[in-house]
Amino acid sequence: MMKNFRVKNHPVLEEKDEREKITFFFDNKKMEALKGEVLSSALFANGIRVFGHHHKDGSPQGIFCANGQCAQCNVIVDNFPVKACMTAAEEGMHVFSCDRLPNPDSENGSPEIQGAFAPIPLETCQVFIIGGGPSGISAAIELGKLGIDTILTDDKHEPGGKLLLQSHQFFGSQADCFAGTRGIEIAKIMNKELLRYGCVKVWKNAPVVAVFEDRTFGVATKEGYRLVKPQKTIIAAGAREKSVVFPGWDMPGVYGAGAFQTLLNRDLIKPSERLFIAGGGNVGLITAYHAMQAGITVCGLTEIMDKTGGYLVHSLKIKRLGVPIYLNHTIVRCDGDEKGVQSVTIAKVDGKGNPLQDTQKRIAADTVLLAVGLSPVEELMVQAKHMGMDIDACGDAQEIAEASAAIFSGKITGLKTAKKLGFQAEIPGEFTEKCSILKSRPGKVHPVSYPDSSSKIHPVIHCFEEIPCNPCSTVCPHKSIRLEKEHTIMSVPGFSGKCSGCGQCVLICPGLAITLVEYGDEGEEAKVTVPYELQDEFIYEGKILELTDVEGNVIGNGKIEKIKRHKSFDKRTLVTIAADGKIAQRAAGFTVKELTGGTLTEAEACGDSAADSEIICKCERVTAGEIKEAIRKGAESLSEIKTVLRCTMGACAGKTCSLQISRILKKEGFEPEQISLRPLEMETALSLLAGRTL
Amino acid sequence: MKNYDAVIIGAGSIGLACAWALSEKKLKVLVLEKKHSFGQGQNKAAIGGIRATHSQPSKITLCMESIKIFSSWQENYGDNIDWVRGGYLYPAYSAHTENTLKGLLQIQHENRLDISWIEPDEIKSLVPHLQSHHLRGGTFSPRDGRLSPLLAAQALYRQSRKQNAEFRFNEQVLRIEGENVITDKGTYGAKAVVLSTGASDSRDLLGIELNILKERHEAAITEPVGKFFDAMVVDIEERENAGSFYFYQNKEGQIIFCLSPEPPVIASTNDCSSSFLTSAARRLLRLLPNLANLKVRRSWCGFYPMTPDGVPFMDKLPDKEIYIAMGMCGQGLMLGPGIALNIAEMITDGKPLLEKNLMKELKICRSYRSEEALK
Repeated sequence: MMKNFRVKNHPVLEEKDEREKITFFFDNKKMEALKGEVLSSALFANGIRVFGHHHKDGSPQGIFCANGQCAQCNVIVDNFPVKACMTAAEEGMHVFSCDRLPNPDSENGSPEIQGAFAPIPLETCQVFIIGGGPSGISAAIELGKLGIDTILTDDKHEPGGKLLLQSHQFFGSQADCFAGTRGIEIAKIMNKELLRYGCVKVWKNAPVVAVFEDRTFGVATKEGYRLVKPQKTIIAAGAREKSVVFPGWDMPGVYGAGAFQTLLNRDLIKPSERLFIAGGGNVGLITAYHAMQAGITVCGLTEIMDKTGGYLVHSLKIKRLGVPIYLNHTIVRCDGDEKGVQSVTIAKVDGKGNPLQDTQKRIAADTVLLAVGLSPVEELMVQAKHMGMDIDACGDAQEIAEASAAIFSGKITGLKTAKKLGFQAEIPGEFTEKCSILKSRPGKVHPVSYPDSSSKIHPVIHCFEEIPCNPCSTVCPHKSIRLEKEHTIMSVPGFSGKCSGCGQCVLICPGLAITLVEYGDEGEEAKVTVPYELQDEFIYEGKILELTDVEGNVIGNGKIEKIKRHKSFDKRTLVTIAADGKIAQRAAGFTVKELTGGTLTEAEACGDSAADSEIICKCERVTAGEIKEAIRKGAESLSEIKTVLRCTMGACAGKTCSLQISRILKKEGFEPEQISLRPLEMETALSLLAGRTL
Repeated sequence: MKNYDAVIIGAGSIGLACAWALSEKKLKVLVLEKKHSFGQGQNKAAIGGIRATHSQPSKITLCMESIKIFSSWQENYGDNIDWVRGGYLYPAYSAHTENTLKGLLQIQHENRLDISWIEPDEIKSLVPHLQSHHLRGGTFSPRDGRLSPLLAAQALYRQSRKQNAEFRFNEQVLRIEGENVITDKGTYGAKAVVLSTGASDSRDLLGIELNILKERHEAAITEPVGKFFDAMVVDIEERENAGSFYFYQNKEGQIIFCLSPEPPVIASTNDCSSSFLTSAARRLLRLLPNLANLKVRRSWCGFYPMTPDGVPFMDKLPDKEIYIAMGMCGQGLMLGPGIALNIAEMITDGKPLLEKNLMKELKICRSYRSEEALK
């Protein structure tokens, strides 16, 4: 039976099956895609995750960044490579796996150049915003309100940035940044508001590919190449994912958590059956949850430190569902075959993060996600500043933080830019304050405590870490939930007073950390109402469940008594479970065994990690061993390593490997220099740069 | 204070070649470089073309010498420098260009350059897909070639080090006083000083101003494509505010291309212009329309330290042991070994390899009466 690689019955996201189906060909095999969907997703939907083989060593290639930054997903269309993640499938399109260099002898794809070329249009504007994520749109809205002539350009088909991938409800403050609303909904609200301002032009599918000495930007729009000369510029280009290297990390099936979210939440592709995640920051933790929502089994998550770095509510949420989190662990290798990853081997680390001998354990997984941090996309900023342009960054491009903080930093930067242009624009003092609160790292963790159990019905708030979040304190009709501190949302909430059992707090908490407990008349039996956001098939009335405490420890069994869904619940389900009154307050959730865990087996020591066989530069296929060898032979700088091994000269321009090479140089005692930044930011076709012919 | 037979200022295409040639003659050599490593100026901006196809006899002779060194480098010293003897092709699409190219053949032949006029059919077999409309033929010099500037710099550096040349990086020369070279970090005794600072200003060091203007030239490189030609193609037709356009396909399969702006751009920064990519892409697609969908990966700029006649300075200051190897006009890489061998002879033997009448073309004080036709 043909397996289905599209997500079905997602609890939150709406399926896109009503989109028109089109036919395309991959290596002459007929396949189906949805109209407008990018080739990478169309191929995944057809069960294909190897898109080609590297021309240098034949290693299988597939998706990695899903963001147009690398070229690992190249496929051949019209005789030349295109990025599968940025190219929409079209009816009748012939796509070939990228197995060798393009053949220039073929007459295919060689439009005759006739006549004179039309001039490249030069657009001017007061403000040019690069990047249409939460910060870019927020800046554009502020400029729009003031009637400032603005162009906002984005490299995707729709502005929204990473909001378009976030199916979960946001933290933060309800009044200021849509806390309690799902990212995908926030994107809709913001895009709608953006449309209100006629002075803001929005360019889609239009990546900025270069900055030039005459203070113009080169933009590769679908309609053609153009130059933009703005008075002021705002960089809101977001962040890119960092990598961690180990033998096998270059296989299809190992990729960034952001890439996974793109496949899953934007395109509703189910790219995996069994997932393993490296990194316990918010991105890794949230992605584990997203995977489970799509019915993907999460086998585990490693965190190299002794605690996860993300919000406690995020890690506890997946622990309660039964996801094993391996602290002080790292991935040491991935194994697989021609088709990609089959297993992952993890090991305990010492205090310095080095794997310990004889602690290797192996687990079966088909996909491994790297969620080991983000770094700001800053190349354009650095070059534009060098050219003397007036430019500011906001959002992740300025500082890595939550999307809620990006919204504020966008507003602030928009207003700041307006002021520079001479407009009457005041930046409210509270904006700066709120922005810095929203950027806060998680604060103090309070001891676990429960409300007085004498009241028959009451909420239990399983939220003990100070994070900037307040929705629960705003929804209680009796005002019985209050933040401990009054002056800041960086606080933990507490319940005291009246409760009528309306469940509003259970429905709104972004961390799914509030339950409702109702005792029976004798107090020996209780009903616990728990929020649930996974697929319906795992819950049914009468099902016996393992109840877990806030930390995910199993504390007893319960039986589903009632399942309540309502269109006002924002796609959340309330599951009422009959349980022993003694454990009712401690019951914070229940395991979903169908979607978690797996068997760890002993694995032999990894012999070849000492041989440095892991690839560092994926574009040019250079291993750590080769880099170390070059250093031993006298290379002392990035430029010399580049000279002998071609690292950083590939399609991604060192975006993936330069950090890793710098790390190796430092370890060998050399201070790596900054690599020189040059156009282009993204490979661009000669025909596009040449412009259209008349 | 440490004393040296020769102190070379600048570790670029010329300085490195001089370090190699002088240390091979067993001289005690020190190279001073203000940047963090060797080859960090114009060397790494070079695209790697190595030709003896010029119009001035001195340049033809110097570059033929360089070609000998580079083409046998791997055999003699072991390092791969990606040398490929692909030849240089100058196609003619107009009567004017045909006349210019044919007019140079006599002087080129007189100087023993292997070059001949070839017909469109032959061009087609050298560079398949090259635009044949209006193609009248062209000159082809099969012994010219190309290499990786990065690997060549590396090879010259390594071999110099093996021959005991010393290098000091991150060290700026402040002045030359008699036999002393004074830097921001120390003073070195030098029996001879070689000035090879390339596109960096050296007025303060010399006390005289050399007639050099820094022209900015831009280049770009594509993603790789299957190998389909070996020659360097130089289109010297003037079109759309630009002069000659030249390109080749490197070992990786990438097309590297440059466009000389017309009129020349005198610039102090090496930042990329907004017009280059478009103009150059148009020129390339007119010549090779089969590459329309090929993607450009990177572009960059370099400086051509231009003399008024397009011929370098290779000279010795009167009464001083200061040797000038400057103003390479963007051809430092191809001139390097040839120049270096001559400088080495001048220092050790008192006279260069080149004949006197050829040396006249390279003097720092000259009339600039005849000009290089193939800049």
